[in-house]
Order: sequence, then C-alpha cells, then structure tokens
Amino acid sequence: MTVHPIDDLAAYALGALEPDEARAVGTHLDTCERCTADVRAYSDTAWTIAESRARDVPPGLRDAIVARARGDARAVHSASVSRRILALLGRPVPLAASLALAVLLVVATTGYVAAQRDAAR
Amino acid sequence: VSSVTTSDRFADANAGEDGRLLRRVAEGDADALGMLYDRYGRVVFGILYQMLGSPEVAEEVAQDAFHAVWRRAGTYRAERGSVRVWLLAIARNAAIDWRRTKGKRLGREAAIDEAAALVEETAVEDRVMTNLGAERVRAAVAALPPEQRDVLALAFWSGLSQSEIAVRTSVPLGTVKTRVRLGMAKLRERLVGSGLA
Repeated sequence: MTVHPIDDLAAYALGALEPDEARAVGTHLDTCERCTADVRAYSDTAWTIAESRARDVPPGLRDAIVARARGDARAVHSASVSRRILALLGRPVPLAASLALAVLLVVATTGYVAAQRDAAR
Repeated sequence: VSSVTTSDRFADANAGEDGRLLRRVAEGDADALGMLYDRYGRVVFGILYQMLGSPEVAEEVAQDAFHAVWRRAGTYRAERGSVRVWLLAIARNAAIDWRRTKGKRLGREAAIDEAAALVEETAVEDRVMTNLGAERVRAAVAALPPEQRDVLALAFWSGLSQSEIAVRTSVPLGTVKTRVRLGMAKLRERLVGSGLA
C-alpha cells in the first residue's frame, strides 16, 4: 500500500524540509497526482502570502540583473568562439588541402624563378 | 486542499506567459529575464526584504536570485508547479544561503528573529502594498492559532526547516509538522474563500 507523506506536503511547499526529506517527497510526487495537487495548492498559498509583501524595487536593480545576464552570455559566447577556433587549429589538415597548398607553392615558386630569369636577361 | 477558482484561471493565463518567458531565458535571452523581473521583481524584493531585514541586502540577494533563474531556467519542470512558485523557492533559497554565509560573517543572525516578528508587527504604513488583498492575507494569518502562526513564520520568513524549528522552539518534531500542515490548510481555506488563492 502506498504511504502518502501527508504531514510533509505543506512543509515541502514552504521549503521547510531537510534535503533528504525533500528528495523523498519529490520522488513520491513523481508518481502521485493527488499529493502533487496538494503541493501545488499549498505552493499557491505560499505565493499569495509572498505577494502580500510586494514592495517597490530600488532603481537600477532591473538594469543590474539584465546586465549581469548579458555579461554571462557574452562570456559564454567568447568561450564558445575560442573553443571553435582552437578546434579548427587542432584539426588535422585534410589531404586535398595539403595537395592544393603544395600545388600553389610549386606554381608560385615556378613563377618567381621565371620572373627572376627574365629580369636577369 | 485542491480547488479551482476564478483566480486559478487567471493564474493559468499568467503561467502560460511565464512559461514562454522562462523558455526564452533558458535559450539565453536576457530581455526575457528583464520581463520576468518586471512581473515578479516587486514580490521577490518584498520577501527578501522581509526575510533579511535590510533593503541593501535584499537588493544584493535579489540580483543573486535572478542570476540563479538565468543559469537554471533549463531545469524548471512545469509538472512540479508554476514558474512563480519556482521563482519564490529560488529567492528564498538565495536568502537562506546568504544568511548561512555572508550573514553569519557579518553577525546578522539576529535578523532571523526580527524577520519572524515582522509577520505580525510590520506597520501598515511601512509597506508599499496596502491594498485590500494584502490586508485579507494579513487577517487570515492573524486569525491562525498562535502556535500555528509561529511555526509558519519561522518556516516562511526565517527559512528554518521543521527539524530546526523543533530544536529552536523545544517542541517535538511531530507536533511542529502537524502545526505546519494545519496552519497551511487553514490559510489555504481562508484565502480561497476570499478569492485570493
């Protein structure tokens, strides 16, 4: 028979359980719709209490929060670009690219030698 | 304790918009985080002020809380509850973390008792939100038996677990659990009756 953690549901919604107790209730909620509905109801009550304490926010708080997030996003983007460049540099050069480079070198050297020869005449 | 009210239906509409915003936050959209702040910043700042007793500290912890939302938006699970309840849990955890680290170093432990007392003693003129809804919530809390009101204050505003409340108040853990459950059930009933939850 399933044992429902009735005594801990309100505390779960309030965040008033020890971590191991919260994990056990969380596992139960994964399979119990009835207890999940009760937790949602208790959570809504907790939200209503919180809402009754709303206050005007200090000027600049919004900008600080968004700027910090943007800073994080830029750091993540730069790190990602650096990783991609490093990956490209570290990648073995394909055979076709090596051959093309060799042909280019031969053509350039031949041209240079021919030009030197013409100049000497 | 479950029931469906008109305010629940409005909450559903808000939940849809909240979910869309949080998905954008998870994709790295900082503007969406700003919009989430526009919706809930006043509540988050209010509870942090209530828990921590200082506007400067509440501001610092609000930044930490919204940054945690930014980093953890992808871990939100809709089946476990609404975005705003998830946000409330993040904010309360940020306050509890602050108390356990910086607060302790700065000797601000006394704020725990002060914050608990504020449930009943905050003067109406000190609060920004003085509308009828807030007064009804206040009346519903005030109408609870003192022993239930006290454990809820310690859990909600002081961020104590039931076990910590039992130790602090020298009341058996089982009794604390019963008081938390009965107190929350009564609050739920009264707030739903007032059309507030």
